[in-house]
Amino acid sequence: MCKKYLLCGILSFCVVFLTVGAASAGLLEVGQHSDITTNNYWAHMGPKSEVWNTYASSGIYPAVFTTVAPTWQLVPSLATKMFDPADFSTVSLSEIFPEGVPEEREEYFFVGGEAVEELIYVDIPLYDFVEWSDGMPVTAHDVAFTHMITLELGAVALGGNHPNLTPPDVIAKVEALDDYTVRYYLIKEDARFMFQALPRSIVARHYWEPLIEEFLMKDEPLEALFAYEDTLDEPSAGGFLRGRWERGAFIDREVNPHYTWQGAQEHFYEDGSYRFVFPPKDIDVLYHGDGEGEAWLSTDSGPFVEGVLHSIYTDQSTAVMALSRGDVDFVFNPVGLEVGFQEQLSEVPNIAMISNLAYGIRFMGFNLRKEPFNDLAFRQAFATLIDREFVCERVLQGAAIPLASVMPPGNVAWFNENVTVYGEGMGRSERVEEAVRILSEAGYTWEVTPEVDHDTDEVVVRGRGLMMPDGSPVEEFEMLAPGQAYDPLRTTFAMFIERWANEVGIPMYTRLTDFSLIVERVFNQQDFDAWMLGWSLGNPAFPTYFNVFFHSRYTDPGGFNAQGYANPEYDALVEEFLSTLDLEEARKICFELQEIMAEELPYIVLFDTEIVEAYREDRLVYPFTEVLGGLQFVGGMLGTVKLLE
Amino acid sequence: MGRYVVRRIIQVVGMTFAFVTITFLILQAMPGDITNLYISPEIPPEVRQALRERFGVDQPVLSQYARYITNFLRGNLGYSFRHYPRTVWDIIRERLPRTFVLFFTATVGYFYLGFTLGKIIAWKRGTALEYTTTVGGVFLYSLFLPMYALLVIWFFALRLGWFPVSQFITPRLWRGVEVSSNTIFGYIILSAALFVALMSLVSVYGKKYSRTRKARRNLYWGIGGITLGILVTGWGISGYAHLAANIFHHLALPVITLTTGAFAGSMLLMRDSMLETIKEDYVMAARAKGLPDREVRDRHAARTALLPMVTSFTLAIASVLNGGIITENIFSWPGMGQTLVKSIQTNDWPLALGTFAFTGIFVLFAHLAVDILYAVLDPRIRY
Repeated sequence: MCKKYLLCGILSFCVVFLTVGAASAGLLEVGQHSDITTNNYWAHMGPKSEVWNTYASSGIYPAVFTTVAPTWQLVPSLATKMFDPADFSTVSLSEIFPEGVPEEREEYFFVGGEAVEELIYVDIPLYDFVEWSDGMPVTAHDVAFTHMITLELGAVALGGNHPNLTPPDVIAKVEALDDYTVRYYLIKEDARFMFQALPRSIVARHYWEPLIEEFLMKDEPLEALFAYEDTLDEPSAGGFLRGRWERGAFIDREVNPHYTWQGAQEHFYEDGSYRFVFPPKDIDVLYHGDGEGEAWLSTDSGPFVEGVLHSIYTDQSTAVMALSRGDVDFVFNPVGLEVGFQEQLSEVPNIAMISNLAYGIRFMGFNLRKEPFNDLAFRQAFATLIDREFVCERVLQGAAIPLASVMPPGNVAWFNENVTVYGEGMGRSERVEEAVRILSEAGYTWEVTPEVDHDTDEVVVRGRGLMMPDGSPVEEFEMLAPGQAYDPLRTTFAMFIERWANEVGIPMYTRLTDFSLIVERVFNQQDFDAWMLGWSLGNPAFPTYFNVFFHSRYTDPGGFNAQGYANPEYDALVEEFLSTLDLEEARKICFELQEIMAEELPYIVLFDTEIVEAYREDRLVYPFTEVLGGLQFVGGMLGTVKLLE
Repeated sequence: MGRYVVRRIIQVVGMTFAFVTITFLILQAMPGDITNLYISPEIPPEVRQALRERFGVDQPVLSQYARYITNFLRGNLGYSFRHYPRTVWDIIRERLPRTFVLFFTATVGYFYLGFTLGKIIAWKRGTALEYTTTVGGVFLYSLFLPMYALLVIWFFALRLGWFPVSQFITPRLWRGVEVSSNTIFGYIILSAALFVALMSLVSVYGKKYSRTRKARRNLYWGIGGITLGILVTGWGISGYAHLAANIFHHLALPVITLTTGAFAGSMLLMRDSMLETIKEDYVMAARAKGLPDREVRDRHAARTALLPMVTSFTLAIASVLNGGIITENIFSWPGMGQTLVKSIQTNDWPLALGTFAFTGIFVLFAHLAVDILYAVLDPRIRY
């Protein structure tokens, strides 16, 4: 028997001895609590457009322009100068497509219902010294290839983000005039060109072209393209190479030895200007202002690490444990740390916790195809009843931030703080009185009209038998809201909203249900009365969601304007917003759009949240930590974070 | 016997068909589809529609079922939606070895522990050993598994630092290694299978060629030692020994948790079976012959008492392929259980159904195997 124990002991010792992995001082170790699903650019931007894939492929691809954190300004990257809409010229369509537009793309060559006869174009010069990791130059041919292959394969068929990055109704053609000048032909002026096509990540033509040609020979070319995972040698023009993916365990990424921009500096000035300095090539350029005042933020471009190791965990708790034990330095998490984990980590030494505004909104909405929800007075009265501050501050103890606008304040450049907020600053009795007033003026009546006591700030007589202006009763309706397990904040809000609505005789009840069921009934079947959900709003540089959430062309089943909001004035304005390339003009229009939304209330916005993240402060130094959406939103700043000795 | 086996096989095939159909319908009844993952202002609605068409989820349920069942009968479990265009088989092949190694080890562990302790405490009935072992075992058995697992992690990994907190390998150690972890898992399984097969042969033929027990023991230990030595040397030469050791290091905590948390079930089963057996006349006769206690217990009583354990063990082995959702989650062990949960969460129904079908069929055939094994092991059973 003793022999057995001795043998077990020796074997155990060998196991421990053999497996002590030496920590590498220069290695940045990050955790993420879900595996990636692809290591392939086309699949990642396409059907596998998951945030986890984004984390593992940040800092690989160059772009003609880029948006810089934390200000989210659009600035040149490969381009040598700022894009100016005045540089546009026109050319006839037949000159560019002498044999006609490819049949499969013909549907996109219309503007306002009219067939396009002229295209507009602009030339953008590129730096001539940027290299891929294999030593090949990054050229205009790479840019043209990326866009054109997307159009040829079909942006919608490629799926995911591809139709946004190369919008087929905007981009007619992209060609390389020479190695370092790219020409974009556009069907129409559209902000998506500036904020999505120009900052689109560019792939290496010399790597992908032969592969895609091979895939095109197959029966299912897209399937073959998406299935291709042998991308370890894909050239990178960013700070890091594509990583070796050990499924379910880790992604190991090395730094790009040919990274061109190492040592570049970025300076952000008080007047809003941005300065980019790259001493090896004597580049010192200023955008968006004159560089007046002190630079409030300066950053150096690394990478300052010898590699990044993404460890995969299966849930948040194990990732947090790994962080607290020092196995990883930072944990990627798109929704931030839950309260319990925050408390757990707050007791661990050398862990820094940071909090940033998330770029999202939580809201409730009505099915505007039905009565009485299509009545603006009803929606305004309903919005008046909702005391966001009370729920956020008193009930949720600051876990949510009251918000009444469809633009979160964290996106400073686009946020209009002067929008109507119904019931702002009112107590309960005042809100009820105001809601009753709005409804009465619109012709609504009650069998029993609600009454309030201002001294106690309470409803003393609950309303009953609410009737619409035509005398028909307001039928009891249902609000679909996510359950406690999915989002306790929204559940809490839903409960209070139900209570407040019932107090004034609005017969509604909340149905807490599964997220998938809400999506199915709201977006696909449009079989609902009221709903409560949230949005993560995408690219902060240009809020295109004003189009897809509220334009009347998206009201069909499957569209995101599930509430059925249709306002020709709004439609015209949002089209103008999308078509302007003048940033100041776009901002003005965006402010107007926010005002309309706050008045018309297709969404009653309720709150936003903060995203809380943690990292090891004894290991990492970030150039800044205040950024919309948190560190995870900017790819963990892998290229600028420094490791302490 | 032959007719019985044929009848059981037909039943199992029918059950499989019913199982797949019911599972399909349950998964179809879930609201939403895979395109729920793509609800984002950055992704146009037409992309979701195109995806629905590509995956065929816009088709009526009956036509989806007809297509699925036709493919199923051809052994094609389809594509995973979330991992498209990876096939379900490919994903199962990737996850299965991890689950198999963890849960097979744990199952063998807790059955061995349960068997050993069960026969001892039955033999020493009424002693302090029986009470403490039973109470201790039942206490661990009744603990809420996630809480127990976290306690084990806290003590052994966080407090003592003996074991890794989670995951199945240490990423740092595997950096720059060309071979994949699944290859190492494969080699581990192969090594274990070789070892077990050889020792089984030795055990069977040893009796034939070794006359005394001492000779048999020497043969057993000698060949076992030599085989183990060859395997260890082989691993050493391959240069992968440290990687296999790393997997064992990560395996330790979940195996300890599962073994200590579950052994009581088999221990009590063995104990009850032993208590019945030791009342038998032949056990009394063996004692009367003056055989040592240990020999009577192990060679006369325990062998007969083993029969219910065999059933239980075979069924437990069959369900190791299910993995354990809780265990895999807590220890970040991405196996079959994890795959199942994630596929359901993301409406990836081909993967969910494929995983269910694979493990379900395995369990059904394990039941069949148990029935046949029973007939072979117990000559009193007639069909």
